[in-house]
Amino acid sequence: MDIDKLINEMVAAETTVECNPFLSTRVMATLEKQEVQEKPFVLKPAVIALGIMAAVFLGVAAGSLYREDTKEDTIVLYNDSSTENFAFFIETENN
Amino acid sequence: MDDGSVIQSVLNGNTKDYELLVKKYQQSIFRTAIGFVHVKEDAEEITQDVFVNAYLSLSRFGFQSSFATWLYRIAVNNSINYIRRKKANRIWGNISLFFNVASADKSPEKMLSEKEDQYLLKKAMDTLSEKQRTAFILSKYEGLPQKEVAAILDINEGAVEQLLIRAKSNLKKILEKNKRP
Repeated sequence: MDIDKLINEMVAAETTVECNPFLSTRVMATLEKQEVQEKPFVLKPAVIALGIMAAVFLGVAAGSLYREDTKEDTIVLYNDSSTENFAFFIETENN
Repeated sequence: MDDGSVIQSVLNGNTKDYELLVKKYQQSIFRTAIGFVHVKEDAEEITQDVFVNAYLSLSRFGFQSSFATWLYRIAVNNSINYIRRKKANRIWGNISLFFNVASADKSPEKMLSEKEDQYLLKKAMDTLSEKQRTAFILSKYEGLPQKEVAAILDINEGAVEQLLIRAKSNLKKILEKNKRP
């Protein structure tokens, strides 16, 4: 068996096969499609970062809205034992 | 416009210029791929993947080798990975391998005999080690000089010569073993 002849025949047969003339168009279309798909991946971290910033800002803003009440409470001092004598209740219960 | 200028232009944002590189190298990459898979449609799929992968890694191309050498490396890796993935579909692969042999104006018996020989040769090629097969394809299908094959495989020229000698010897052994008496 002439191995060289066989190899040359097979190589000649396969190397004459032409690839699709639109292969470059297909490659460029695939690349464009990938670029379009990649955009959300770029936006996603930006949206997350903006969300965190907005949450922090709102938290700080809500915290700053709180004002301590500086008005002094009026304390009413009232002597309950003088109005209702304790002995009066004891007497009522005994009766 | 040389390859370096085109690459620089693509990296600067002129994506459309990449088509120049695709058009320049598509047939070479396709030939390499068909040497591995022997089926036109599969070779086209590999070629497309090679150019997409090369584009995505273009910023990492350091100009340490020529663009063609770098592209051949991607083609070889993609082809080997494709074969590994496709091993599950062996039955269909064998059928398409048998019918995917170019025919000229010859008698039916001779055509059948040649088809059988080429089928056996393709099967024998598939049993070679990855390095032997790669060296054989780059040398025979692409006609690349041993120096370039050595650069693609990242070995010295002497090792390439040894791989080619062993590949041919193994092919002969396998063919003689499988050939009907």
